[in-house]
Amino acid sequence: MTEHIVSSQAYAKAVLHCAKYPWATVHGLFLTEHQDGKTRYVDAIPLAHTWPQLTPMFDVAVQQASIYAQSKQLSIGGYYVAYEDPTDVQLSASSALLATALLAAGDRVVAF
Amino acid sequence: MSSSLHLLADIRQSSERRPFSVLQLAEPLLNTNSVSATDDAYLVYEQVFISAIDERQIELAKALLLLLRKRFPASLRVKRLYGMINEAVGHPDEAQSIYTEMLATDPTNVLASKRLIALLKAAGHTEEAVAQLVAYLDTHSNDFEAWLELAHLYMRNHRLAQASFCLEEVILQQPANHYFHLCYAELCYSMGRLDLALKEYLRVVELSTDNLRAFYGVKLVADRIRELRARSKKDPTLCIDDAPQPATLDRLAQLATERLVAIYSRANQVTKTTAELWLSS
Repeated sequence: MTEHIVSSQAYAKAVLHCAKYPWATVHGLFLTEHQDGKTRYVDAIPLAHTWPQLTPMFDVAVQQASIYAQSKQLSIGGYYVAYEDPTDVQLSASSALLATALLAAGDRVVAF
Repeated sequence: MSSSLHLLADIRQSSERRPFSVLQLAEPLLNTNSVSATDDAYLVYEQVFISAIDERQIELAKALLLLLRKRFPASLRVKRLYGMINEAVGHPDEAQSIYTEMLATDPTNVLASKRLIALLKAAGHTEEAVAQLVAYLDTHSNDFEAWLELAHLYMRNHRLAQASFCLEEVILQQPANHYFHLCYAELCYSMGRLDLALKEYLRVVELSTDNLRAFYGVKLVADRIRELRARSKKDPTLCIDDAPQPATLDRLAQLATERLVAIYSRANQVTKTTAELWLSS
């Protein structure tokens, strides 16, 4: 079982992104590095709070995030989504599709 | 004092949801009792009531509700406020029965229908909310905001085809609003209807200035169509029949790239470099 270490910057950015738009579904990416069998979540990139089911901007964002991540010797290691309905904890169909698309970008990707 | 009242009237006019500002403006007015003499007194009370329940100031809300009830004892508009306060304190069943009662008295009551749909949506009963909204739209099909809400609900369940139908209705009613064309373009792209997506993205470009998402969309679709045409095997899930000629596509992609570079020249260094790297790949 890989140990996951989340930095306060990554965590704070993701949570604050949700807090800023409590009425909307928000999603974003985590940038990670793998060291000695542990996964460190170094940073988060909030993506959007509108139309999270639509793919074109997500595709562009993932591609650009990959470029950025490479420049910092990181990779896209996670995808987070927080739904409008706070009791909803299952990954929805559209989110699952987007998350699967991320698998093509790199292995060892986790969805939250 | 009157300037606060003007500001409150402006907020009512624009239907923005700014509970904190409303309460800040209204509190001194209510404390010094300067509202009751004005013409808009009850409009202000209703506005402050809604902001109060938004900010969890239930006692204030109750006091305002009593004032409104005293003045308009048989009003359905006040009754819906009772429903709202029930929702706010966590009694959705009472709220639901209030709205259902209102609809039994007057089936075309817009306020009650909308509150009921909002209630169902907030409780997570998306399917029921959709059913109610569809019934509402049967009577009020010129309410484009309701169509937009329905599109949103369909998208939550990943029913993109139904969502795009709703967006089409919205565009029929609001053809000059580029945001709806943008949403429709993205829906078409997500569904694989690339030819229509391209047309709609170009429409967004036409209707707005330097729209970043639209140019990204044009570039993405143009590139994808070129790539798909180059492949010998046809992908049945993607529709590119109506797409323009390769030469046109090339020029469109070029235009999009040029405009993107121009827009990004105004951005900060990190964003700019990443975008440029993406554009050249």
